Amino acid sequence: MCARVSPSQKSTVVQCVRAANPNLITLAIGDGANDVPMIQTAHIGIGISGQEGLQAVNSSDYAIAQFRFLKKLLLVHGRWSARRIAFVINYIFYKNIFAVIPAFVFGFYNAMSGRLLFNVWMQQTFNLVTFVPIAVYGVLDRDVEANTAMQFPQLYSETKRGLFFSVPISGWWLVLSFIHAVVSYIIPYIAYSMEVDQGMTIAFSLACFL
Amino acid sequence: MLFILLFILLFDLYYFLKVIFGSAVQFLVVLMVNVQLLMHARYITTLLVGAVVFSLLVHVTFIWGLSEFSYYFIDDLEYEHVFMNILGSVEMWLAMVLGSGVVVVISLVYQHLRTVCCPRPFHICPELERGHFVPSLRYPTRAALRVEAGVAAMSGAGAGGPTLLSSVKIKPTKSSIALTDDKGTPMPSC
Repeated sequence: MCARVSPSQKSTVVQCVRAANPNLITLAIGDGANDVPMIQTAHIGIGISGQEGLQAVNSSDYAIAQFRFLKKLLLVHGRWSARRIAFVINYIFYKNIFAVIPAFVFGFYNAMSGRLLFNVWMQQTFNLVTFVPIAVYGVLDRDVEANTAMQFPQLYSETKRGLFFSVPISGWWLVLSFIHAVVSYIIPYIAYSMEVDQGMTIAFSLACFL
Repeated sequence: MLFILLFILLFDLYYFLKVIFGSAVQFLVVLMVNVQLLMHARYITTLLVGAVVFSLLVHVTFIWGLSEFSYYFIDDLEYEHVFMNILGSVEMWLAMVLGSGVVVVISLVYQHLRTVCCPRPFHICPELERGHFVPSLRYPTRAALRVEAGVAAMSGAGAGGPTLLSSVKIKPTKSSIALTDDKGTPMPSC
């Protein structure tokens, strides 16, 4: 705790903490103009709007009305946001890899001749079509209610331990995209092969090379 | 003659391969991507379900537009009638059901294994909070909460207004008995 320090000294304190352990994520909170350098030096700056003016709020990442709202900001909204962002990142990679792999697999059927599996117009609209649900998810989804998140601070600590976004989790999403892509290719292939009788199978294979 | 027959056969297959099969695979991709999102959503709202339905409808509309109006836009007749060829075939519906089933099964198995073998608070808390496979507990509606509040008010809340506090008395413990306020007087027990 530092008392009676100048704005630059407050900033220096944060710099010292960051220099001592670069892996730490620092958070600075203040309500006055003298807190602005400290807020801007920390990774996350929070301004309190009130009697001291709006300088701190204007230079901060997040603004709250009272100091006691910090707990809810971190434990509830911080956790929800971390989970949503982690999922959205993984999901966007997943769905784009998922959409590309069938076209890649199709290349083996036509000796990589460059034929397109999907219609170009439809391929262009893929992200447009699938953007809306993930946008809604990224704004609204929550796994626990606010009072539960406040009641169990352990839930917040798990965001720092990378349980929502880590290499194994992203790897699992990658594996999942491969599995789903193969399934999405094989099932229609088998289903439509039932339509084509045995005599046409050779021609079916030949047609791939056209 | 054989060459002509083979040419006709290959042309039909070319149409099948490029148009029908490709469109079917892409429709399945869009469907499975949306099912996957629904499987991971923990706060299923009308807006989310509406967004998923909207996404699928827009994709179907694109297919329909391509099959009906592609001639006017891209001067291409290849995609004519592809809409009916995809959504009118039993094979495609079978593929849709199987594809969605695979996504659901993999997702459920993975989530179950993580909850059982490697439980974390964020796996357990939602279950405790919403009830395990109890829909009414999982997503209580506002109307249900309002009725619950009304019942609580009628059952003896009196002039204090509606309350959701439990009527069960909590037995005082050693620490709660020893609690004192700032002036040193003991706090009232429950």
